[in-house]
Amino acid sequence: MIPESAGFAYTFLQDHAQLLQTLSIIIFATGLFQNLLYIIELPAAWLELRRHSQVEDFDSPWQLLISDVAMPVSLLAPAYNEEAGIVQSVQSMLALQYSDFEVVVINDGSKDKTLDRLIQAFDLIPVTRACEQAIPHERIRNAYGSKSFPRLLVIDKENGGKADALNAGINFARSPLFCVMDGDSLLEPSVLLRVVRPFMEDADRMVAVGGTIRIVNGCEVKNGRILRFALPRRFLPLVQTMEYVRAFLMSRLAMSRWGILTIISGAFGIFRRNAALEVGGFTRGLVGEDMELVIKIHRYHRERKKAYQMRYVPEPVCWTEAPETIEMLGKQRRRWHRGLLESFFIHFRLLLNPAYGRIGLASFGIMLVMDVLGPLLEIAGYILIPLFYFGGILSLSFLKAYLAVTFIFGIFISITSLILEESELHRVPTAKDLALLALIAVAENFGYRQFNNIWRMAGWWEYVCGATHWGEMKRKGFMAPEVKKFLKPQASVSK
Amino acid sequence: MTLLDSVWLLSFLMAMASLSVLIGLIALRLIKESALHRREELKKMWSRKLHIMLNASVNLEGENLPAIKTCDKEVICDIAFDMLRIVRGKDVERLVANLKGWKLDAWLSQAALRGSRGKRIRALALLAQFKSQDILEILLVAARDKDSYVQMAALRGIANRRDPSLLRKMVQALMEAPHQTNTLMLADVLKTFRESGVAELERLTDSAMRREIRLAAIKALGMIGAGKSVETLLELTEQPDQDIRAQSLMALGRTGDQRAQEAIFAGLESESYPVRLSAAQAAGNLGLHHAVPKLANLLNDPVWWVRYRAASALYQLGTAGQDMLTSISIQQNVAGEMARQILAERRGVAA
Repeated sequence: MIPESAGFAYTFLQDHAQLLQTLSIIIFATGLFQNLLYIIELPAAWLELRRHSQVEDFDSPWQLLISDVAMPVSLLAPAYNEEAGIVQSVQSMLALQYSDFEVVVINDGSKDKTLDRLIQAFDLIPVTRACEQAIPHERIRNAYGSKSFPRLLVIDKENGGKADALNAGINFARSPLFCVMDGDSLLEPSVLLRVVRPFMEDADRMVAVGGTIRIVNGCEVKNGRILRFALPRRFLPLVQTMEYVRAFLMSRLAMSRWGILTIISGAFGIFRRNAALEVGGFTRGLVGEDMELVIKIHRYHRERKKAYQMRYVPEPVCWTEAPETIEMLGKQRRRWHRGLLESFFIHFRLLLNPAYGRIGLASFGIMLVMDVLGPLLEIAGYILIPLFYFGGILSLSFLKAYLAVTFIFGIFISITSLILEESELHRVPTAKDLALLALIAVAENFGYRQFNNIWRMAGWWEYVCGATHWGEMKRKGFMAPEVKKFLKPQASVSK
Repeated sequence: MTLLDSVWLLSFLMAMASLSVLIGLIALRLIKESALHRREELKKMWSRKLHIMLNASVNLEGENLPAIKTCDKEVICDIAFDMLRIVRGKDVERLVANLKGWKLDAWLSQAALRGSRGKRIRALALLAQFKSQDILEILLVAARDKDSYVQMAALRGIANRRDPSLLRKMVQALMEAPHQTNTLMLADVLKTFRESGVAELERLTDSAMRREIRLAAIKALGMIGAGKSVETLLELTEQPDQDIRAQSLMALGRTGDQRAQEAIFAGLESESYPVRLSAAQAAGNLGLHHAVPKLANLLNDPVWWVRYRAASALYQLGTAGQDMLTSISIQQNVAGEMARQILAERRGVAA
C-alpha cells in the first residue's frame, strides 16, 4: 500500500514531468560543458608545460644567479600574530638563491610578540626609508632595518588586514617586481630564479606570474628548508595534494596558455609593481584580494587597450600547510568561495562583455558555469536526478550518463592530471606515492567532492549574508618542536 | 545506441584508458627506482675517481684512463657538470682533457642537438669548455635553435672562448634564430667579451639590428664600462626610442667619461621619464657637480622614482649636492619631502 504523501509526490512528478525533465537536462548539460572544457584544457595544459618547462634545466637558473642582470624583487610578507614561526619564515626568505632581492615584512598590528621576536632575532634598529605614498593604508608606526641583514626591512603598522599590509609593502618596495607570500609559507630556494624568467623574456608586457603551491604536510622540514619530500599520511591533506595537482596542472596551465588566467595565489605570486599601482593595489576588506587584484589588472589593461601578459609557471614551488580537520578545511573552502564570488560580482560587468575580450567572454563565462553556478547545479543534480529516475521521469540511460559525467569523468580528469605531473614534472617522490595518489584520484570523487560542493554552497550563503570575516585557521606549523610549544592559533583579520 | 549511452561508454573508456596509462607510468617509475640505486652507486664511484684524477700528480691520458662503459657516460657528464661550477683554472683543463680522453665530446655533441631541453642545455654547458673547431660548429648550430634557452646556452659557450671575432658569428646566429627575447641574459653573455668586444658590440647597436639585440648590446657596453664606447653611446642618446636613450645614458654613467656631460644634462630635461631617471642616475655615478641645479629641479618631478633618483644623485655628489638637499628640505612640497626623506635615510636617522 503506497502512503498518501508518496502518492502525491508521484502525481506531482508526473504532472510536471516536462518541466522537471528540462531542469534535468540543464543540470546534465552543465556537467557536460564542464567536462568538455576539461577535455580542451588537457592538451592546452600539456602544450604549455612543454613550451615553458624548466625541468632538468639547472644551468639557466645558475647562470642567472651568478649574473649581474637579475631583475630586483621585493618579497612582501604580511604577518599578523605569527610569533611562533615568523623568525624561521624570514630566515628561509633571506636564504633564497637570488642576487638582487629584499624582504619586506609587514607586521600588521600583531597583538602577540611577532615584532619583538623579529627585533631580537635580526638585531633590528629603527630606520627611515624614503617611500612612495602611492596607495593609502593604515598608519605606519615605525620601520626597522638590520645591519646584519641588509636585505631585510620590517614595517610596523596599525592593523588593517592582509590587503592593507600588502599595500603598505608595495609602497615601501624598491624593486620593479614584488612577490606576495604568506608569512607561514616556505619557498624553494631557487623559486625566484625560475619565476622571474617570464618577466625577463617579456619585459614590456609581463605584469604578473603565478607559481605552484604544494602541500608541505608529510615533508620533513628543518630551519625553513625541506629536507625530505613525502606525501601526507592523513586522508584530508592527501586528498588536497591530489586536488592541488589537478588545479594547478590542468586549469591554471591551460588558462595561462589562453591568456585568461584570473587566479594568482596570494600565497605565492609575483607582480610588476607599476601594474599594481595603476589599479590602486589590493582592495581592502575582501577575503579574495589576490584574485580581485588580478582581475583589476586585466580590466585596467583591457579598458585602455594596453598590451599585457600574465603567466603561470609550474616549477616554482611554494609549500603551504593544508588543513587537517574537516572543520578547518570547511572554513578555508567557504572563505575561498566567498572570495571568488566577491571578485565575480565586483567585476560583474565583465561577464560575457565583448569589450573585455577573452577575459569577459571566456574567463568570466567559465567562472559563471564552473564556480558560480557549478556547485549549486551539482548538488541539485545529486538529489534530483536519482529522485526523478525513481519517480519514473528519467530513463536509466539518463541516470547512467549523469553518473558518468559526474563521477567517471571526474576520475578521468584527476588521473590525467597525475599523468601530466608524472610525465613532465616528476614531483611525486616514489612509485608507491604515485599509486597512492592514483587511488585518491578515484576515491576523492565519492565523498570529498560532494563535501567540497557543500562548502562552496555554504560559501555562497555566507556571501549572500554579507560575511566579511576570515575565520581562524589553526595550523600545526612546520618549525622545530622546541618552537612549536609557543605556537598559537593563527588568524588573519580584516577590518 | 543513444547519445546518452555513448556519453556513459565514452566516459568509461576514457577513464579506463587514463588509468592504464597511469599504471604504465607507475610501472616505469618502479623500474627507474630500481635502477636509481645502481646509478647512485655509479655516481659515487665516478665522483671519487674524478676527484682522485684531478688531484693526482700526473695527468692520465689515453690508455691510462680508467675504462668506461656506455652507461657511465651520462653519469660522468653529470658529475663533470656539477664540478665545473666549483673548480677553476688548471683543474678545468684537466677535467676537460679527461672527458676528451674518454671521447665524451662526441657523445655530448649528439646530446646537445637532440633530447629534452634540460639535457641539451647541460650538454652545451659542458661543450663550452672544449675549444675545438668541431665543437664551435655545434655551438653555432645550437645558437640558431628555436628554443631561446638552448640558444642562450650555446651563445654562452661561444662567448666563453672570448674571441671577439666570434661575436659577428654569434650575431649572425641570433639574426637567423626565430626569436631571442631575454635581453638581460643576452647582455650578460655579450659582456663576457669585455673591452676586446667593444667594437663588435658597437656594431650591434646599429638601428638595422633587432631592438632586443640593440638593447642587450647597449647594456653590455654599460656593464663593460669602457671609455672607448662613449662616442657610440652618445650618438645613441639621440635615438627616437626612449628605451634606447635611457639605456645609453645609464651605460654612459658607468663609463666614468666626462664627455657624457652634455647628453646627460639634456637627458635630465627630457620629456620621457625613463630617460630622466637614467640621466639622474648617470649624473650621480659620474659625479657631475654642474648637474646640481638640474637635479634639484627634478625633485619636483611628477614621477616619484625620478624624484628619488635625483635626490639620491644629489646625495652622491657630496657636499654641494647635500647642501642643496638640506636647503630644499625646509620646503613644504614634494621636493622638500623627498629631500628630507633621503637625508634621513642616508644619514641613518630613525623616523
